[in-house]
Amino acid sequence: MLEPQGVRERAGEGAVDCLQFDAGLAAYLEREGNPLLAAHAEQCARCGGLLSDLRLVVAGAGRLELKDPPGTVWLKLRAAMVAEGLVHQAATSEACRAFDAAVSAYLEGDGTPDVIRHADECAFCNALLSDLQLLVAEAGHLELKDPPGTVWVNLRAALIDERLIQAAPASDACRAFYAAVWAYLEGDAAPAVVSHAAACAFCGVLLSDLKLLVAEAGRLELRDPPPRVWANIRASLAAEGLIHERVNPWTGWLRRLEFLHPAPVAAMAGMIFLGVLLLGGPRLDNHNQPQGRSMLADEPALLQTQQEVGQLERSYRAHEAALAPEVKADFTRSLASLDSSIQEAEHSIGQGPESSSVAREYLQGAYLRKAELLSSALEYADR
Amino acid sequence: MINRFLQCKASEPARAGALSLTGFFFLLSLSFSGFAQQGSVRVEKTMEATPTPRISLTNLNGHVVVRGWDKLQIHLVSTASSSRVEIEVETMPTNGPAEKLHVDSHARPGTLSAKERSADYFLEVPLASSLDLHNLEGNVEVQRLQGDVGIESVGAPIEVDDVSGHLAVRSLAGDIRISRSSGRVEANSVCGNLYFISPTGTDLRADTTSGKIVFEGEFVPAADYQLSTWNGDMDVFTSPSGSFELVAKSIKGKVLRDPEVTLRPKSRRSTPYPGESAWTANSGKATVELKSFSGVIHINPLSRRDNDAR
Repeated sequence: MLEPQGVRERAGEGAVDCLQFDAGLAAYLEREGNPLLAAHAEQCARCGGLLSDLRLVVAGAGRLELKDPPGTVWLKLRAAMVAEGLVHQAATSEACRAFDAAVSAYLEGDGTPDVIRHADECAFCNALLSDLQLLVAEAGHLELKDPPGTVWVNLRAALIDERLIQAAPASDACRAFYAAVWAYLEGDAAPAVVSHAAACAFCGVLLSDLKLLVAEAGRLELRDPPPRVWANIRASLAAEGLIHERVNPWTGWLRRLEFLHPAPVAAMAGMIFLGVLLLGGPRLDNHNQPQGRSMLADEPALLQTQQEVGQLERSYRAHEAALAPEVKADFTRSLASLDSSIQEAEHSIGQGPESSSVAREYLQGAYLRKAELLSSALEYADR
Repeated sequence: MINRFLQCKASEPARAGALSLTGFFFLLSLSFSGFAQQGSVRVEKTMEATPTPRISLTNLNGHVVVRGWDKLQIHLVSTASSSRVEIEVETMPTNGPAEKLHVDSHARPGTLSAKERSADYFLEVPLASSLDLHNLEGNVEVQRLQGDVGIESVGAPIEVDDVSGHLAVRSLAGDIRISRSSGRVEANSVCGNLYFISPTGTDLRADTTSGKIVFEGEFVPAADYQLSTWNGDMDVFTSPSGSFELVAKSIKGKVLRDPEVTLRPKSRRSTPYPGESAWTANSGKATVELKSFSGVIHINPLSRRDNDAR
C-alpha cells in the first residue's frame, strides 16, 4: 500500500496519473490488466520502480507456504463483519435465542412455526436458516464414512454425562438381562427379561430400542451380499472340513453358488461371516507372518483380520496344486505383491502418526483384498 | 426360458441332438459351420438380437475380442484349440431376437496344458449391448460399446476402447488399458499397470498394489478422480488449462510436479500430512486425488506425453 506522502511526491511529476495509478494498482496486480497503468509505469520512474517491486513481492508471496493466520486476524475479521452488519452483534434477542434452540429440531423435520416466523422477521436468522438448509441438502450427498475413533469416545463420554448410557459396570441382574435378551427377542418366554426391564431404566430403554430395531429390520429389503462373501464362507467351511472341495478343476469357473441364493439365508450367512471376521471368532496362530503379528500387537482389530486371512491362506496352500500352472503363477505373483505391501504397511505402523494412519487404513483394505484374492483362487481351484 | 442350443466339441464337430431339462433345450451344433482343423474347432454364428442384449462370456484361456457394431445382430466366431475344450452357447429367449447370450468354455476333466485349454473369441454385438466377460488367462479387447461392461481376469492384459457405460475392470496380474471411456470407470489390479487415456466420464477410480498408474488427458469439470497405488509410481499427464483441485499424497515416496504445470497451492485450515500436497488449477472444477504410500507421483503437462509419444 502506498503512503499518502509517496503519492504527493509523485504528484509533482503528474498528479492525476500517479493518483490513478495508485488507485488502480491493487486491481492491476490481481491481473485485471489496465494498459493505461502500464503506460504510466513506463513514463513515471517512481511508479515504474514501485510496480517492479510489487511484482517481485507478489511473485515471492505466491511461493510462500499457506498457513492459518493468527487468532487475532479472525477476531479483527469478525469485528469488521459486525461493523458492516454482516454478522450479529454479541447480544442476540430473546427471539433469536429461541430460534437458535429450535432450529436443529426444525432442520430434522419437526414442524416448528416459530422458527419460520422468526426467520421471516430477522434477516440474520433468515440467512442462517438458508445456509443451514443448504448445508443439510449438501451433506445428504456426501459419502458416508466412519468418523475417527475419538468421536465415539467423546460421544460416549457425552452420553454418560447426560446419563443416557451407563458408565458404571453393569449389575449381575443387568448381565443376566443381556444374556437372555436375544432369546427373548427371538420369541422365547423370558419373564426375567421383562421384569428387569421394568425395574432398570437403562435396560428398559435398551429393550425398547432393540424391539424397535427388530421391527424396523423386518421391513428392510433383503439383498444378496457380494459374491466374495460366498467365496469366503465356502473357503472357511472347506477349511474346517464341513464341506468337501471337488478335485475336478477346470470344468467351468465362476459358477454361481445358486444353492445358497435365497436372500434371507444370504443375509444371515453374510452377517455371520462379517461377525466372525470383524468381531470375534477363534483366534488362531498365524505362522506365516510372525513379524507382522508382533507389529500389530497393539492393533487387535487388524491382528484379528490378519489371523482370519492367515486361515484362508492355509486353505489356499492346501488347494493351490489344483490350479493351472499359469494361473497359479499369477496368483503367486499377486500374493507376493500384496504380502510385500502388507509387510511394509505393518512396519510403518508406529513410525510416526501420518505413516501409521495411512498404513492402518491401507492394511484393512489390503487384508480384505488378500482375502478376496484367496477366495477367488479357492473358487477356481474348486472348478 | 433358456435355450441351450449349442454344444460343440472338436471330436464330434457335428453332433446334433436334443437335451431336455425344461423341455426347451436343444442341441443344434449343425447350425454352426464348425469344422475340425489340426485339432482346433472353429465355430461361426450370426443371430438376431435386441438393441440392448446382455452378453456374458466365460473363458479359461485365449484371446477375446468384443466389438460394438451398428447391426442388431450378434456375430460370434470361436476357435477352440483342442478337442478337450467345450464351448456352450445359450440364448434367451428361445425364439426371436436374443435378449441374452451366454457363452461358456470349459475344459473336460484331465490334465491339460494352457494351449489345450485355450479358446479364442471374436464377437460383434449391437452398440448398446452390456457385457460381462471373464477370461482367466489370455488377452481381452473390448471396443465401442455403450452398455455397462464388466471384465475380470487373473492374468490377462485388458484393453478397452470407446466404452460409454459403466466400466468395471479387474485383472490381478495383467495390465489394464482404457482409452476414451465416457462413463464411470472402476479399474483395479494387484500387480498390473493401469493406463487411462483421454477418459471423459465424471467418475474414475483406479487402484493397484504394485503396478504403475498412468493417466493421460484433461480432467473433466465436476468429475471425480481417485487413483491409488501402494508402491507403484504414478504419472499424470494433464493439460495446464484444465480446472481441477488436486491432492497428491505419498508418505514415503515423492510428489514431483513439472514446472510447466502451473498450480496454485491450496489454502486450507487443517495442517496437511507431510507427504501431501494440495493445489488448485484455474477454478478447481474437477476433484483429483492421487495416493501412493511409497511410490513417486509425477504431475506432468500433457505436451510432455505428446513429445514422449513422438
